[in-house]
Amino acid sequence: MMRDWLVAPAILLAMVMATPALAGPALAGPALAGPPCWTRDAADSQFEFTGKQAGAPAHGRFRRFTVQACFDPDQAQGELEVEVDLDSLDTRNATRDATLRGPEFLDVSHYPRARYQASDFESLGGQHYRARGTLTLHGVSQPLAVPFSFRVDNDGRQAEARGTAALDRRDFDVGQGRWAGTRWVGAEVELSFSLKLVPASPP
Amino acid sequence: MQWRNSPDRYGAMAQGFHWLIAVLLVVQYGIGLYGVRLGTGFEQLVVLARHKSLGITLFGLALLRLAWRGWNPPPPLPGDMRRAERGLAHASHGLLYLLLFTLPVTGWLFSSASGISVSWFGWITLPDLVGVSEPLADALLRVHIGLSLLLVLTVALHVAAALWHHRVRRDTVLLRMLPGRWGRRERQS
Repeated sequence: MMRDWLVAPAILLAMVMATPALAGPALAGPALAGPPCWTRDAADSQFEFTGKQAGAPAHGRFRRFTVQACFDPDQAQGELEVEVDLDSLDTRNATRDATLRGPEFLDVSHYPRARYQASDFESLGGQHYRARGTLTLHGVSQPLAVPFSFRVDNDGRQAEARGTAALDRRDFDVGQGRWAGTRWVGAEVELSFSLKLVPASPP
Repeated sequence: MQWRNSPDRYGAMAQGFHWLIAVLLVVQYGIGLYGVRLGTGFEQLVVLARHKSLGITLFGLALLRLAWRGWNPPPPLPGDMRRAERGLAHASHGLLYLLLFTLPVTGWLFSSASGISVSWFGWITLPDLVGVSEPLADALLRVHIGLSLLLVLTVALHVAAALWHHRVRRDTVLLRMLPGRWGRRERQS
């Protein structure tokens, strides 16, 4: 009898402890169907670019852009979409900004946004990956590979992604007329991003 | 040909610096004036980039020239010049040297403050001297243009003084800065 009194609570306890494990998948449902999703933390994320003007590097950044990413780092699988508001570019020189927004460069009144979409990822070992996606800029879509590092911190409450990529502005017809030459404004533009990500619901 | 200065003549180095800088200053002034009158655009970018490269060249030449001058002092002024005349000669030469340094430096500062790094002919990128600031850039551009106007006035005084030495005083002050046979021509009094 004594043993039964001890066993019964133990079974009850075991059942209570098992409940979340059993109920968990059913309750969490859709969230576990795909990899975890993320969006940028507006405060800390940076998206910068560097071109060359008359031989000297010219740095700028985009003040407004959105990131939607669902990524499983173990399988290197997921979806990524980055949208950049090109009007928000800032090179710390108002004249240069106006020229870059203007019809001879990005023509932001006709092409206000650039979009990068990727659903093909490759593991490069460690926390390093490569996205093979498509950049649509200035009405032109071109494949663009973007190597990046990705790290989940703080028990899944935060993630960080960093990377760089280079593109040739001529591939996107950016720089028209006399600006088409590359002697005074370089062809290559380097992009670099450092994103602080927070969990998001799947799109 | 003598490289170093002698008591009555400038040597080839000092003459070379003087005339090279003189010619480049005229070109530089023309490019700068043309550049600011152009509207924003491709041509202005090209013209002002050349103005900056040439300005940095002039800055380097002024440094070399001053170093050479320190090691190889110029021939003295004619002994019969009055005190005030000597004072004016030294002051205007000092001002010319000061402008040879402050013009490129204020231009470089202006470029840094306006967020545009200076490249020397696309080969070397110079460090930015100050942080980006629009009010500072505006002020520096005013100073740069003001100094360039002061340079025009000082050069005018310099040329007038050289002609005064040659035509009025009939001494060798102008001739001793001229190369070859012009410089060696004896003054007929």
